[in-house]
Amino acid sequence: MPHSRRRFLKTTAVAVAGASMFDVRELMAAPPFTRLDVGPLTATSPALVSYAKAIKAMQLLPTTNPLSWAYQAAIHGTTISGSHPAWNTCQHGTPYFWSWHRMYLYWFERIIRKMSNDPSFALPFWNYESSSERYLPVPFRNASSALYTSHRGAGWNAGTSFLSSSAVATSGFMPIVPYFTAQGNCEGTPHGSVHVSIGGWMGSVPTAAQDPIFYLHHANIDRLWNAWLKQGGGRTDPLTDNAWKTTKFLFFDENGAQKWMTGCDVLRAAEQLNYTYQNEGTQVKEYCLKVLPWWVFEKELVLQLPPFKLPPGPDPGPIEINIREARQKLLTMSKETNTDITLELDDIEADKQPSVYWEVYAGLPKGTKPSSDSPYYVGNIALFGHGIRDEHQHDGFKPASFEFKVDRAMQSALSKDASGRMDLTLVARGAGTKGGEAIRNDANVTIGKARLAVRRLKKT
Amino acid sequence: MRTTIIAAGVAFAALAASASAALAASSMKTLVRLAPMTIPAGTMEKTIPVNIRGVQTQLLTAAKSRQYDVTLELDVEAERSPQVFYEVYLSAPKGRRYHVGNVTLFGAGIRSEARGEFHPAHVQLFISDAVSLALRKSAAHALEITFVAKGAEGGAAAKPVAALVIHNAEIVAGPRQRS
Repeated sequence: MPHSRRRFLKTTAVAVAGASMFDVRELMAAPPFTRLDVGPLTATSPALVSYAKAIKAMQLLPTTNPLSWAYQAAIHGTTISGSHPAWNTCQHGTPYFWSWHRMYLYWFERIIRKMSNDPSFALPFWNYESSSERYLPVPFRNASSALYTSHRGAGWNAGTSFLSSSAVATSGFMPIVPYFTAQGNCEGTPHGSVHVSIGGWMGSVPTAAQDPIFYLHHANIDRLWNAWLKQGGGRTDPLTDNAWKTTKFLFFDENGAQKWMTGCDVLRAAEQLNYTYQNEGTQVKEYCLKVLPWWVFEKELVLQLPPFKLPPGPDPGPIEINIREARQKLLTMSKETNTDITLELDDIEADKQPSVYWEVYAGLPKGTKPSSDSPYYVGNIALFGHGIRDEHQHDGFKPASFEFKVDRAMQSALSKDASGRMDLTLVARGAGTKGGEAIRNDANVTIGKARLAVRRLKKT
Repeated sequence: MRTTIIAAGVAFAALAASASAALAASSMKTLVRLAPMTIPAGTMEKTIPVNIRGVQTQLLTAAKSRQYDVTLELDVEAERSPQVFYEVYLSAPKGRRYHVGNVTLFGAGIRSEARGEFHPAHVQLFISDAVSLALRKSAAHALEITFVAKGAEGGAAAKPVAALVIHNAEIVAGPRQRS
């Protein structure tokens, strides 16, 4: 069943902090850890000395011990037959790619801390986006080091192979706003491209985590998650996705005890997991929201507006709405934090694909130039797929609907104008103009239903 | 009560963002659908012609619009890891190639590594800029998509050891996802 915006609105809402599944107080008693860029580190740098020491100790443990190197690698994936708790549970091509690997590295790092007897250990990251770090870090090429494995592609241990710029590019996912799309593209490149470029154990899921460089690669992918989020612009973790927030994954702590974690436990690396990355600055803080059912909300129709048309040609003038009787109510509600005022436009249809979209303004004062930066701008009407009569529809014609939150616009408009009227203004926009010629709509568009409504929490 | 009110404010903001995402998902439009194809093991480069006759205007309008993204959507799989990734380029015939991203199989999409039910990997490449550039000086009725096998630099070129099967390939326009 396709997503329906209305269905979504009915099944979504509000908000209390989710419960953590592990003891944050115990964790926060330790000092904050900084994951360092491996580039400047040498084989004698404390982080790499401790990492190598821990690997040696872990390799001596039996495969069935959760603290062993083999067991830890097998949590990601293994070719060893048999089944043990948490084996083969890595997440690729699923909604949990970023979050699962963050959990995995977190517990792995704690185990390294214990096995190296270095309570200050933090996993370095491989910053291959820097052109000076495209070769395998030197300490990992020394055949006498525990950081070394011969199971790498040709040239890596000899120091002749290096990562191509296209393998490490972050430009394919950083500009993307929706979480799962950005995550999926990051999983491809740089994540997957780096894996297959190194090859050998790293080139295949069931063997990848046996190579010590794996964890530095994934520390970088984890850092990139923070960097993506920090760009803002609507980027957010999937806080409305209940499965993402609550699906539990199993790991082991440094004492071999089972630990379960969810997406809600790994939203804020510094605050929840006590680590940051070198030079990353302040991390974005996000919080889990508990979804409440639609029936805790009530909706009230405030004003039914007449249908209107957007004919071909220049923009029609503003649509005047008489709000005299509802003015005070709307103004009061626009200031309430638990209430949304919405402009709902339904039964929208065009006779053909319009070559423009429309910016929608509520309460734009007369003579004011429409600008999407202004408080009167509430969103866009862009018809594509739905609502176009002359296009083949896979499952029949469906008119389009749009809903805009107009609290801010209402507050701005009604606090300045006591006239009892408010304009609804639609401004055609497009890809560009020819020689300064104004953009013109070329389709007949009808908006069959329009109304102002209020949505609020029900009083109990 | 105060907690509830604050919480409600947060939730409405989240609700509005997700409603936009849901709307975006419902407005995707396939402009071109390509036939399934296979890039055999050992093949370093393969170019596929894409007939855009009849949709050039829509394609270019969507590509140039600030409201839309044009994406190349691929469902891909291999029997085992090809041990390379594929750089993907878009061009007008005989025109300059523009790199639009990579196709990489690691975990997802590899049949021999599947746990439970197998699914091809879905790859989404954003090609608006490349479409605009490729069609800027060309009235061509075709585009070309080229896959170039790639591994580590600095040594002999890595050859794919398994065939890459592309089940579905579509050029799609939908509400913009980038900023």
